Amino acid sequence: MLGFKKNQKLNLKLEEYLEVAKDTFFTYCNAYEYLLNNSIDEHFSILVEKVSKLESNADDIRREIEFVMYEQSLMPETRGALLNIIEMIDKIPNRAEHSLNLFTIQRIELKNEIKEDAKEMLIISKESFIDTIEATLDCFGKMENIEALNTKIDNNESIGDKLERKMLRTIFSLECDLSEKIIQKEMIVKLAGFCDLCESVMDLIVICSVKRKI
Amino acid sequence: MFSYLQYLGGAFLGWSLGANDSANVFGTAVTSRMVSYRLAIFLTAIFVIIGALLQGEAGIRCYAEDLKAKQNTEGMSKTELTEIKNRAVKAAMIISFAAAVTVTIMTIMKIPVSTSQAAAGSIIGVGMMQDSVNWSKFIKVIICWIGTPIGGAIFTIFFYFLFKWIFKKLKLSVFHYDPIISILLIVCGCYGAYALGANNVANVTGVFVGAGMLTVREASIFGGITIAIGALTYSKPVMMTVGKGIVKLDSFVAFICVLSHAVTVHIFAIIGVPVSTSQAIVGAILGLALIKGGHIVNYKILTKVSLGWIATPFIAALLGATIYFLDHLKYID
Repeated sequence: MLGFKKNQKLNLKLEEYLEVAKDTFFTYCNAYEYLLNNSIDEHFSILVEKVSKLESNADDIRREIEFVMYEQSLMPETRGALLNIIEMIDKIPNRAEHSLNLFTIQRIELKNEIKEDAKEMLIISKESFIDTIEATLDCFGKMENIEALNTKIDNNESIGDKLERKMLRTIFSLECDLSEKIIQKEMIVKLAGFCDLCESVMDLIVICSVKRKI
Repeated sequence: MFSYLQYLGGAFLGWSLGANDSANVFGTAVTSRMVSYRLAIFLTAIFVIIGALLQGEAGIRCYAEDLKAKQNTEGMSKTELTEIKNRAVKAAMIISFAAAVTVTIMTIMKIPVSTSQAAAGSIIGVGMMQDSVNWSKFIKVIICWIGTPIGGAIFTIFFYFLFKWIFKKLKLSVFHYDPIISILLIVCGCYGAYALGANNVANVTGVFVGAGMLTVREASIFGGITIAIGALTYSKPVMMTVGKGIVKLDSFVAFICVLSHAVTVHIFAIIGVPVSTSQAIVGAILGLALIKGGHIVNYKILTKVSLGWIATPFIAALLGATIYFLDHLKYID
């Protein structure tokens, strides 16, 4: 009745999308961790394939959400905010898929000297992404935890930046080819980018929540 | 043929009122894209007619009795009475036409104005020519003109904090909040249209009842329909000024402004004083500026609207007096 049903459908789709996005990122983290402990093998390829399928699934759901929104559910101002947030979140599964593809295609293996920091970065990124999903649901829900989640994501982003700089310094202090250093740098930047993306999503969420506050 | 022409001024005034004042009802909702323009004007037309039919009587009677009171007909012959009636009919036509022209000019200039001011202005213009202006009544009308925007602002402040408190308590998700606000906007818009019909129909047809040309019932139907036609055909330009020009509104404050303006106008309709919906909605928007700070107000547009308010009665009075003067010109050999 009067948009309630459409909005219910939209709400379920949003939850479904966030769940798939989370699965994509967690599978990416598992694949990355596997690669840090092992090498590019069949199991890693299976995980890469899984991330690719999940990412494609997330894209399909995102398009469905857009379609439902254009059917006039929600108010225009909310529609715009939701669309921006989802598009920003969608960059995370995309980056995850792209990063794993680079490992597979270019047969890259991270240097042992940065592996521990990379593991730590994975943990921080995972934490930030969970908080981002929670904040997204909270932003369109009761808006109770946005401030606390914003602080957490902001802190994680700072830690991520420090780790990124540390890893880059380590790589460029190693005795190896410059080309190898540049490839390693690219992978570090890609990994550190997740915390930045979570922060960008959170910025949009904060703006949206401020607008939603009466 | 003349009998139909007599009502042309009223129909014109009703149309211009509908075109100018119906913008106040759904203007904020349409410009904040909560309600489509087509749905808005359709609902406005229906509820204006309902309001005029159900509650327009009080205002029409107030208007008509005031006009009748000016005409002391005791002890007059039948010829004298007919003469007085003819003069009253002519005056009614001039008053309606002058007010309608004034409101139409303002509508073309996209300025929300008061039809009550235009009607009162033209009555004074014609009254001055007839040397029969009731200045004590006019002061009361001016008090109402000042009271309307103040009422709109006070109700905005009251409803803003009331509904803010309610929505905070409810803690609704956006998936419930959005459709609820949309429904509230439509319901309040319909209520505003109802109040517009109930209150402002007197501006359109009160003079005809006073002149004995229409019964109160006929006046309600005639006025309601002409206002509805105005809303359906030419309400968009002023709607954009009201909704976007003065303050950019989000859905919640749009709802508060529509509700405040509707309550203000409805109260005056119950009392039986025709007031301006334009003044009520602008007052409501300024009430919002008091809450959120003056920086949200577009002072350029506000000045234009205020000047429109000041100019309206003077233009209408001048037009009324000029038309009356031209009508009474006689060729002398």
